[in-house]
Amino acid sequence: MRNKNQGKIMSLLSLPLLIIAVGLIFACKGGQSPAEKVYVPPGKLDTYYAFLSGGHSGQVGVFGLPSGRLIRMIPVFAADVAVGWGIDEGSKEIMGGYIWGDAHHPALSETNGDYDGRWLFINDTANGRIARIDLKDFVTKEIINIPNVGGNHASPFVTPNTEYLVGATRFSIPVPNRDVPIESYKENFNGVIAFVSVDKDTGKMENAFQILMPPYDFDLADAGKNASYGWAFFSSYNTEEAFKDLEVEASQKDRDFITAVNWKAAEEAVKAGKYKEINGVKVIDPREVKGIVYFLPTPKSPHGADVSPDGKYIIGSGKLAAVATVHSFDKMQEAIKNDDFVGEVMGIPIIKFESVREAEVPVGLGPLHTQFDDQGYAYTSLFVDSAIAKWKLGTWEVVDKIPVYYNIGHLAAVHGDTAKPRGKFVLAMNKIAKGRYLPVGPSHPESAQLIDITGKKMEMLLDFPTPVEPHYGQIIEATAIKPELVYPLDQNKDPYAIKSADQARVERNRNRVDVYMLAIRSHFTPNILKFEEGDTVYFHVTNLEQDVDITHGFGINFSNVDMQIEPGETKTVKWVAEKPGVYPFYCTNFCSALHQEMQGYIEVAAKKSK
Amino acid sequence: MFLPSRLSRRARFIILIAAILIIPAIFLPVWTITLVAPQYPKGIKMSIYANKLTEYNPETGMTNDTPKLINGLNHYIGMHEIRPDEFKEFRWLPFAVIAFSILALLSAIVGRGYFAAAGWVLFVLFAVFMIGDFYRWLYEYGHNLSPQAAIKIDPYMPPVIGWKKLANFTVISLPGTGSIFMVVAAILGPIILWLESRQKKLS
Repeated sequence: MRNKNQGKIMSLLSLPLLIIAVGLIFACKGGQSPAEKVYVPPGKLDTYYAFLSGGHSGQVGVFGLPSGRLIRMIPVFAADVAVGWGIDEGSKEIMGGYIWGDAHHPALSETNGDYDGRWLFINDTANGRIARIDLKDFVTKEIINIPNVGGNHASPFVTPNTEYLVGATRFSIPVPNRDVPIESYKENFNGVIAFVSVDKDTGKMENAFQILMPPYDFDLADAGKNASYGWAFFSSYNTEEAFKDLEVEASQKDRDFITAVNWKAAEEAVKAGKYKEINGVKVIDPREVKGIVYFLPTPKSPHGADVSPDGKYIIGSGKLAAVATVHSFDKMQEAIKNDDFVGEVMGIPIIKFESVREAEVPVGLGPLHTQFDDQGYAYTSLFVDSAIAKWKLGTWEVVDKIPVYYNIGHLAAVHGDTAKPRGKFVLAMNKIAKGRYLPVGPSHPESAQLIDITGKKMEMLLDFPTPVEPHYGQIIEATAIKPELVYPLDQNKDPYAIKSADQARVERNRNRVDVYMLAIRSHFTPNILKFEEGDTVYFHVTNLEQDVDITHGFGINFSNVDMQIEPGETKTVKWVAEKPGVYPFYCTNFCSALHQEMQGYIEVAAKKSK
Repeated sequence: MFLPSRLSRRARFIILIAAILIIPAIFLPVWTITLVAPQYPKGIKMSIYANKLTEYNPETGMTNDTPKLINGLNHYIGMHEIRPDEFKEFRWLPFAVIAFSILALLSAIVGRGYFAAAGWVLFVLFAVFMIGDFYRWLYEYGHNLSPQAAIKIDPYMPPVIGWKKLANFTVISLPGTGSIFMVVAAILGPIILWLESRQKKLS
């Protein structure tokens, strides 16, 4: 009896035990839940930096992945009172008189086709510029104007050794710009493709040369790599050359162009003097210099022009089509050799579509932009479908599709536009976030979504809101960037720097006053200042701290002066003593237990009447 | 107590080793004081050498020859600034170290028991004196607090060796590598005595 019962109990128990055991094995083997994949415990660091552009905020967001935590907004084209960007003299000079910009496409510097972690470049679509952010301190160091380019959108997309950044016209203008009737668009307007060189050691940018183009709207670009090294590819729409109602008029043709530029050949032409100077830049005219630019017909208003990691394919995403068009670089070379052209525009040969096309991949509706992984797959964002399609390079098969919420624009994979993609994740940058976050009124944030691409099926891991508006991102392994945590005071070369309290002083030259001030926990020296009405005062504030995260602020009451000075740094800000009275100033960035005591007074005496 | 008038070859060789072990104290830290706090999880480390001070911040990897960070923190409690030029010891300490190394070398050459023993006693007295001097400095810093300090604390004695908590900081005071070599050199004295006495018994 007893034995029989025991047997029964055992058999009753054995099944659930088996299930638990098998479940445990699968749990260990089958990997982590989405929550575990994105969880970064307190005190631990993310494994990737993601740089997402801030669109018309003129800033760049630095996020940690896989957590999706926003770590820093870097001010670039727009003022940021939190750090004094656009207030202190140094940043005002870099901003060049503009107070806004439209930051679209971040591009990390590259060496041998891979991110090297030195600089981040970003274009300004509004005012035709490119900025350089130094990743030693995540501060914008330089903004260069690109003359002749109206609306620099297809930019900066670096070449494999950061030889060049590119730029191209979105809104064609007369080149050089002058007053002509808008109606004479076809005759008098031009697009321009620009190449900006980057100094290997300092990162300093320079307008190297440009190519005059028909008045198309150039959209995105990618530099050739490996097989196609020495070339760059630009998508364009509005080959209809419309200037009024583009939403209709610019969508008439079945095919627009991807422009292929042989920049090595362009370098030769410039060396041979085959250019004219327009607004101080060397401009090549394709009607006069052959063999530099070619058109690859691509359906329909292509947005992305993305080069595969091996450099053999150029993927055009016709945003009004349902396919991604793959062009073969080898076929293009062959067609050029055989003069396999169907016509030309402005001296630029149009290669026969059928001769250059390798495949048309049925990715879905509204393909925009393509990234790559380390397994030979491509990932194309689909704006209209609100999805990402995963497809195989070579077989051109779509293997998986995942919905995203909503209306994805760009996407970024880990090192996903380099010659050495790392796989792991793809980040969807969605234009519309409705309902994904707690509502805050009619204005919604944008939404980023992190997707695991290691498995057979893509897996949605995480939503996080982003400030306006990521047009593109770069994801880099965190180990590739090693920022300085303080500025060494002994290397401070600012002409207005002081290194100790005995150098703090006030110098007057007529009605210009220079204040050499130090900030250290928890005081300013000097901190009692007396000026006369009408004085123009330059405060040169040096933060003498050499400790991590001990930033001091300098803000003056009843003024527009506030700036943040990092340990070991000197910044200069101008303030005019306009009205007699007393003006307190104080440390605006919490620094210590006696932060609240870190203050001073300015006394402005009335002008003695003569 | 047993003291051989002539030292064996082996004993003289060991004294020679002691002479060499003393030398690193010229260029290695003789004492270290580390300050650990919630906001300084890796600590700030002050190393005291025979002729200088350094302060190392592992977060920045920066080394200073004046303890700027520690002085900055100490000013809250009104502690007198630690200024390397106020330590007269830095001027003669390296020479004292060299002198003791030479003394040990001479003991090895002369090979006389009493000479070596006298040298050893002198060396130990010197060490005791230096620790006393260190104690005096620590006492000074812990008790000479400005009455104008923002944060008023009771005078306190920082640890000569070991650790002590003060407000949010834990102060850890330990001998540096230079001192450890010297301690090993000093221990060799009794070892020689023991070896020599055993030798005597055996013969």
